[in-house]
Amino acid sequence: MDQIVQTFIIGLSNGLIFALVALGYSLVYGIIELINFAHGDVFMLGSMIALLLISGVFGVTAATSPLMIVIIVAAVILITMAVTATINVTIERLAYRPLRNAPKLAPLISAIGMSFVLQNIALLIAGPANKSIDNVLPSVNLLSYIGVNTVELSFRQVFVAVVTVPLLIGMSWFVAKTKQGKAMRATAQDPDTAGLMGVDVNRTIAFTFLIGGALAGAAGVVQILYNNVTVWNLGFRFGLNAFTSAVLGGIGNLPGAVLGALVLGQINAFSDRYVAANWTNAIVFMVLIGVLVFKPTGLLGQQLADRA
Amino acid sequence: MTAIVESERRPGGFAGWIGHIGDVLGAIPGAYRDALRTHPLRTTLLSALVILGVFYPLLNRSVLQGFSRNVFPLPIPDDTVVTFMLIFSIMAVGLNIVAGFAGLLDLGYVAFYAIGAYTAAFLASPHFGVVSIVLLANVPQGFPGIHIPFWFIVPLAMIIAGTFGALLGAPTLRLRGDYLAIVTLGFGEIVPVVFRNLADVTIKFNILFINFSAEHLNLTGGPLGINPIDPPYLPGLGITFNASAGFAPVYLAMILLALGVLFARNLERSRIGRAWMAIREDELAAEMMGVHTVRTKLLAFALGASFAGIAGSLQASYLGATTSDFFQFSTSILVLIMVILGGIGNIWGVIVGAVALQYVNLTLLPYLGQQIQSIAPSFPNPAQFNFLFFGLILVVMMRFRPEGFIPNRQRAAQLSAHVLAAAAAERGEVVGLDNTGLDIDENIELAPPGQSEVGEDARAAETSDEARDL
Amino acid sequence: MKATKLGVMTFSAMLVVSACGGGTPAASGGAAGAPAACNNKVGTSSTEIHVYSSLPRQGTNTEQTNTLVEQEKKILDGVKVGKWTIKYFDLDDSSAANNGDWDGTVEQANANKAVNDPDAMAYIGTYNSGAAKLAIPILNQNCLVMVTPANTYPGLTKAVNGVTKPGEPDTYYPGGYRNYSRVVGTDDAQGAAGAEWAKSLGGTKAYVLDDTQVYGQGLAKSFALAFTNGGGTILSANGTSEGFDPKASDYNALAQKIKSSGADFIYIGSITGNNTGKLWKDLRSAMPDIKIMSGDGVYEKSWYGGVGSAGNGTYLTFGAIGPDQLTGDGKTWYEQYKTDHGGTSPAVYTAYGNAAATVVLAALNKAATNDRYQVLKNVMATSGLATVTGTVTLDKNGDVTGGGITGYQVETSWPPKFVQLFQSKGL
Repeated sequence: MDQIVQTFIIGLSNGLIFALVALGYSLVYGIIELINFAHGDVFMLGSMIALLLISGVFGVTAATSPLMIVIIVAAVILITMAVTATINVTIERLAYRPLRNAPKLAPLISAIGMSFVLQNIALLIAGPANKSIDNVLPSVNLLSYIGVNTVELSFRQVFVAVVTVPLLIGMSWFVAKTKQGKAMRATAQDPDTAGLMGVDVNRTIAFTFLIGGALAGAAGVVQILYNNVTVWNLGFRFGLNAFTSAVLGGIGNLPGAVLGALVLGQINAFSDRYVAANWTNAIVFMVLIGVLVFKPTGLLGQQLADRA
Repeated sequence: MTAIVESERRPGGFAGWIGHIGDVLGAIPGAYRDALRTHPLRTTLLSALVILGVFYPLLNRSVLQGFSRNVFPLPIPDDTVVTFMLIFSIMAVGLNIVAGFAGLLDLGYVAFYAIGAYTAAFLASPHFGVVSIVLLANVPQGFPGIHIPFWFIVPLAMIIAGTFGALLGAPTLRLRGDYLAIVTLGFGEIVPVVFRNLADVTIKFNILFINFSAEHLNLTGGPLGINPIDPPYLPGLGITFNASAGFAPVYLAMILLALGVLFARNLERSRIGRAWMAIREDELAAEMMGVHTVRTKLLAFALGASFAGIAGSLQASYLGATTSDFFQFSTSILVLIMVILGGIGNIWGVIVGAVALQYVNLTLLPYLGQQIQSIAPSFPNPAQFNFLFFGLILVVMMRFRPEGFIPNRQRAAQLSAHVLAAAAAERGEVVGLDNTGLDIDENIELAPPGQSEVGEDARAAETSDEARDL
Repeated sequence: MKATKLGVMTFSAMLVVSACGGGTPAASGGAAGAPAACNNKVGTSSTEIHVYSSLPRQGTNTEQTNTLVEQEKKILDGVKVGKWTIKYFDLDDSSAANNGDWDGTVEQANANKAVNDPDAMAYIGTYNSGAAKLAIPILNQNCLVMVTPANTYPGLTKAVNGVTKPGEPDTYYPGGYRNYSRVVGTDDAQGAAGAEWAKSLGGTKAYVLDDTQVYGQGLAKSFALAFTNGGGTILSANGTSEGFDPKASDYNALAQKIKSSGADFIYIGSITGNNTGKLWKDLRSAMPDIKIMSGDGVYEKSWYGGVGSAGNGTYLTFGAIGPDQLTGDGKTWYEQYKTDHGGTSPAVYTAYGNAAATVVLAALNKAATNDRYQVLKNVMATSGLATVTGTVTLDKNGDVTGGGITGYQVETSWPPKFVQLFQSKGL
């Protein structure tokens, strides 16, 4: 039983990080129907930037006081989010906007190209091997304080939840309640009509990329603080998992992306633990295909309106 | 071909058949002259291509090498690279059927490539050492494993890969656009994982009085792979088409590619081809007009997969080995890039895309790297930038020529219509735009001088007999 | 209708022809004299002899291959042998589309390029055993000798029960003779030494992981086999090594699985680039005190940079004598290298690049001619040759005799501390 709870906790932490990245995919897909292959690499850049800030600029060591750590972590999150948001908007402006009217697969190839470019830049700057930092957050088992020693809930796992959950809630509030969010939803439904109703479509799309980039950056910070390791091709597998989550939940559907990510995190963890790690990837996709056979629009997805 | 020779009553039997062949052959010069008259550009290009192909070794060694040595140092691909260019061209033509004709985005094409390769590996290697089945192969009797000649493996690989194509396509039938993409991506990941992991299988079962137990079964070779695989062998002339055979495998690949192109062209012009086009443009309307979407989509997957099966079996037999490391997501993406860069929907376009991309990847980039190294040895290893250049090329190509090198006429017209509309909108004009892009004549007048190349194509499309391109 | 008839005719013709065509594969040369493939393989140039190397020159491999190429170039490029001058060609067997890892097509193209150059007399490579499997048969059919500074998969030169596949190594030598040699030991010896060491450290129940690639799996399987033979128990799948997914983003669940299995020892067969940083961190965070051992695939500074403090305490084996343990000429070389490179130690295979080039140069000098067969004979007959890695003598399989396995332990920084030298024994 303990093992199951432990596996569940591991799956939950990973799922939450996937969720932040999956949201970015879903947002972009919802609004311009593009699978943004470069999104996972923006996430990877976020974790690299965070690593740079934490170990280089701010110089966090084992001796830094907890208060300083909290302030630094907050600063790192904000700075990284700003940087990745800018990167994402720039990518959109350079690589996707000129192709708005091109055949549908052209922006896809452009996204793949951008993904290669970002990966290689990271490879050149950071080198080919994993880059790591030592634990910034205390690695104590919180449950030991209440006498439970067989299951481990570490501070880092709680940290993941503490950062991701408010962001997710904030995101859904934003999209549902604010004017900008309404503009995003309108553009997603029908860009031409939204344009006619006075929505600045270009700016809305740029704004979507901004938010998506910021979320990816936050996910990157959480990732480096949780896993302590980053590498130039992190974006590939993470991005694949995150995008699969978005599809599992119903692409274009934000709560669906989160749900899909949480489910995927659990599948990964349970497969690693109870089956075998080298089959996990195949199992994830088999589950996805199984779900899509019975529910072709994903777990929470509704049929997207047919756009001529 | 059938149109060339009028049907005539002939004596039946073998003699009649020989006579008919004679007629067909005799009518070729006339047909050629006709073709030259009606489509001069296309016919000359194709003839040039055939001549180049036939004289390939001469071309590669003497002409191009000489050119490279004396005129301009252009890196010349060697026979192995050319063979791979052709193998990937076969795959590009296959993916073109799925993504170009039928409009189904397939991100897991490498799965069928793997299936083709492993078919060849299972049927022509010492892998299943417990049995010894040698049928007409260039291997002594009693040699362990199954050994079937390559010429039988190719159609088998086609059929098996095609069957898997249909099987894997089946769950995707109810899925829209990009859901389909992710499911195919999933298959592209699952299949290599299966091949990689079934190297140490233990089966035990106990049903009624059947007590079966097998341990450490090596079903697929795992990461070590399966080797050696028998190379294709032509008994009459005693030629083995493996990696040390020089230019012979290039001819083999060319012939397979030519057969593939013929097949694809016939498909494109057939009823099924038009059904694919209809589904690609508007599935709902197609269904309403009586197109059997399920069957049509399954056929697209199956036929596209069969091409990858051929390519895979050729690759495995040529390399003499196969392992799951050769089949990764990056290969699926590479073939997709070839198709889109070359001109999606256009058979010759995707072949150009395949050749160009493999050239850049396998010959040009390493060559540039070596040149840079020899000029400035202290410059960091240029091979590290390959990925970067590759990506930049993609982004730039899409920015300036999203329809690919040799676009499908319809796509070009569609694109020009959209581009013109966008340009006009920016200028503040209102342009009546027909979204289906089929009214080519309307858009010709709008072509500004700079767009003449596309406009010309569109005009030519209108005036030629066939509404389709090369 | 016509097409079908034509097709049937052709098909039956093919059947008839192929039925007549069955026969034995090309026979090799007789017991005495040169193999058939070696007839008339003389160079055309009277001024140049070409030596090719084929190594992955992109991505994660550059840390090692940059040093290998530097050593080989220093020893070979521009050196005179008789009336010829050696020209060294540094070929890359990796490709951009393959994420900078070795690419089968490119390796074959490199082998073909060398083979088709009549002045090519030797081929130094490869770095990855999987690439060697493709290159050796091509070179074998054209009498070009191959010396590797880094391939350690045993099946390329000898058969090892339980590790190599049936038919290996003969499947790599279609010409019926040997043209491949190495200056490093093989993984069966490294795995066996690792098992012996693990036992002496008190390991009784080991969990073995591998990165599902040729090198990692071969090494891990050798360890598992030797460990079982030595009386220990293997807890991972099927009593042999278990694969982990190098592209996964998280190994916590796997770590929990190992923890609950009750293992007291973990052995990992992997190369640095397969996400070892994350793997080590997750294993350590679940089991801070368990003993972890790995092989020379991770004996790299960049590995330590990736694992950080999680790597402290790891035991590492190297399949030959480590650079800091070299004696005599080797020690001089080691110190000189550090001076020349501003204090940086050589990478673990660097000395072996030097040794491979030395073997080739010695054979070229002995042969004193640009005939491939003579060069090949002299390489394969290398005996008592002094190199920076010690005396090199090749046995009939092309493997280097003697040698040892070096054991290190990582303390709190890089490089690791030398612990023990093991005898190189088979499984």
